[in-house]
Amino acid sequence: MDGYWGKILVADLGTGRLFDEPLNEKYARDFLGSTGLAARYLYDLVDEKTDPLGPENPLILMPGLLNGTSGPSVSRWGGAAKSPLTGHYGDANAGALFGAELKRAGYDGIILKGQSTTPVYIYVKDGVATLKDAGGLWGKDTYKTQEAIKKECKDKRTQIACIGSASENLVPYGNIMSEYGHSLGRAGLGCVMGSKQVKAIACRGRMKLPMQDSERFRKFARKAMKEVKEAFLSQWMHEGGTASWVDSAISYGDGPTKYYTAPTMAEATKISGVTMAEKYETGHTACFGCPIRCRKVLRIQEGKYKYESVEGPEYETVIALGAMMGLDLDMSSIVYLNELCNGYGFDTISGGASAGYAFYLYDMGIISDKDTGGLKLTWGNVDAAIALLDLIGKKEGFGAIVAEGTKRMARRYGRPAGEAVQTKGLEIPMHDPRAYHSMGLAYATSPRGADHNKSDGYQVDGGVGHPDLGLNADDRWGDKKAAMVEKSQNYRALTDSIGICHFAMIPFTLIVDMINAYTDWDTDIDQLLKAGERVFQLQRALSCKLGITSKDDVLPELIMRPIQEGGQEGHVPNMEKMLPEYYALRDWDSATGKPSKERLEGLGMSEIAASIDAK
Amino acid sequence: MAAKFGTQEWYDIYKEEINNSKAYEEAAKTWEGDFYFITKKGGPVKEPIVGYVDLWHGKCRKAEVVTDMKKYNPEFIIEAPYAIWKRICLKQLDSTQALITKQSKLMTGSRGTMAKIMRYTKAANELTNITARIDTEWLD
Repeated sequence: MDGYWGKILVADLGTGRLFDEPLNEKYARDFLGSTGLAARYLYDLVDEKTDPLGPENPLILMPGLLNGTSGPSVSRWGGAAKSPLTGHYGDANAGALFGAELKRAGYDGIILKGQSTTPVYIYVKDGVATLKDAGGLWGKDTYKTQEAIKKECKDKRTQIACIGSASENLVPYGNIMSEYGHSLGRAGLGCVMGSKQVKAIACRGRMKLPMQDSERFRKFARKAMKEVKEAFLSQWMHEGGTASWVDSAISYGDGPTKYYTAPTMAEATKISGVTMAEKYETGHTACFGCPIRCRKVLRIQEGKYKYESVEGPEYETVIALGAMMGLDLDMSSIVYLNELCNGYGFDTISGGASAGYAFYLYDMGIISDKDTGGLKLTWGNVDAAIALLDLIGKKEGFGAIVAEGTKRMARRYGRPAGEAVQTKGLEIPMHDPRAYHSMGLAYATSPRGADHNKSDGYQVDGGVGHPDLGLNADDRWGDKKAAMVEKSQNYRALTDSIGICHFAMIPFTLIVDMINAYTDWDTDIDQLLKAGERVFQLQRALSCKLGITSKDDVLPELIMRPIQEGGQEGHVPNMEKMLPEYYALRDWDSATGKPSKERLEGLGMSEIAASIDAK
Repeated sequence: MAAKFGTQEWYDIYKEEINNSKAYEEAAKTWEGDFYFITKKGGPVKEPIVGYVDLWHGKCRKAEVVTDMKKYNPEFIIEAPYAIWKRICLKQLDSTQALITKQSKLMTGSRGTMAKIMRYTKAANELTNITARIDTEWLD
């Protein structure tokens, strides 16, 4: 089948055996790649009894369908496993170069099974995979690990996905880092990798992709490249990066502050993408084949921490490690905090939100210096925040408690469940649903738990819509959001599986053209949109298989408290109205939360319907 | 009585409404910059309509229809066909979405930067809240 190598690398870590397994072509055709295809493989391998940190939980990493091609901004790759943070379905995706390199190394994906008894890393080069000792790498931070492996391979172009000591220490939201600061961030996939004692996967590929019609592909890719280069959003993202959203977040009350209890702090503008561009930027870096080049390279010569050349933090990090704890940061400090988390290798969203919750509990008098080991977690205490994040990375002292995430923290301290701002155990990202009501619905219904990337709600109502899909800007506080959220979730399930970046405005017809030229398919817009829905409903069914029901589709109580001041102006999402409308569109059972048998069968998933006993 | 779109009378009202808007003043309290809003030739617009608007610290210092583009050197220029301006002014089309979907075009003149304008998306929306309130006689 063109577009795929037809093989998956399986690493049986218990025996140390690496072998190739034929790609399930039906799965590939139906679920494309990245998080879509990974979820389909995962479905067969886990159930409610699977211990997320046991040998039976696989870690599946897949390139996006178009990874490695000359299509513009098609670098996104992804992974899936049962999450050690949430206890159910977990996935994450990232950009940079790893997905393309894995594909060019001759594989359609990697499945890690079992557990090694000693630290190892997997080296894949041009279709050949070997298991290597990582004893000397264990304990190293993610940056040093990448450098050491590149040196060992004697090839700087080797791409590495690795874990840091947070995941070695089994921090449940430990992540997988690649190309230095790019993160496969959420749901604790790095922690699963750590449980297997796999320090890294290194790939180098120079193989010609299995493309059906290279000339035709190049023609469409060139057109798509022109579209992306000329798009206003590309210029915007190049200029400001994701952190350029900070200033809008301040205006609209989108950036959670003091653990969701205060208006977005205006001081965050000092560490926004715009400020980076105006005062600190020396250049940009890009993901594979991306003309946008949204990542910033900064030079910081003022403040406590100085950097000659360092990557600028993303929007989520800027808010999660700043306003969330009420920190009035300068650029030097936010970069330091970002580097600290990246070096340890843990998710800045869950990490920042969990630290923010600790500050909240301290402020409320629920915990004291006795609990924190002397850390004075008063809003705005930068030194305490640094010390706490450091302890999380080491999983030591009070940091070991905060490393468990907000849901477990609330339980430990006997607090109401609705005080922990998460859905299904995953901390809510830095787009406040009181600023954009659609995000409330997106967070409540995303298969892995709160997920800002599975829906474009804040982007659509912020003006970055998709008119060709009927996704147009509307009242951000409106409650007729069910259709928009459903459509955008399907669309993102699709583009994630293909590997397309959210910021690449490629006309849908060109996406179809590129896929048809790459593969031997004769697909069209309707089929692809259906594939997007198939992926999303599969991920939902997998969540249900692992114990999620309609009772879990709720927003926490704390985030439903209105904030009158600032950009939210006292609004809260009307979940009672939106959720039933959404359920009707999805055809989900109101009691069990399961997709209907008819809907699953209509999407070609009879076996999934039978597996979860869908009605 | 309705003011005809693109006339000096319309821009006078626009200026007055901006200066009466507390929401705009709050959103743009630190903004310093000027614009040409250009309505392209086409449809009922026989010659391009160019409106110069100078915005400063939440207030409008000048709103003027100009016939000679050389008269000012604004930081930003936004250009769109009449039908698009009408939809933006009536809040039927989000101003950012118009840019993203290439229905309008932003140019940064010789002095402006994209970075500067990124800080003020809410102020831009408040400007369209204001245009939606103006009793406008449309050209079509």
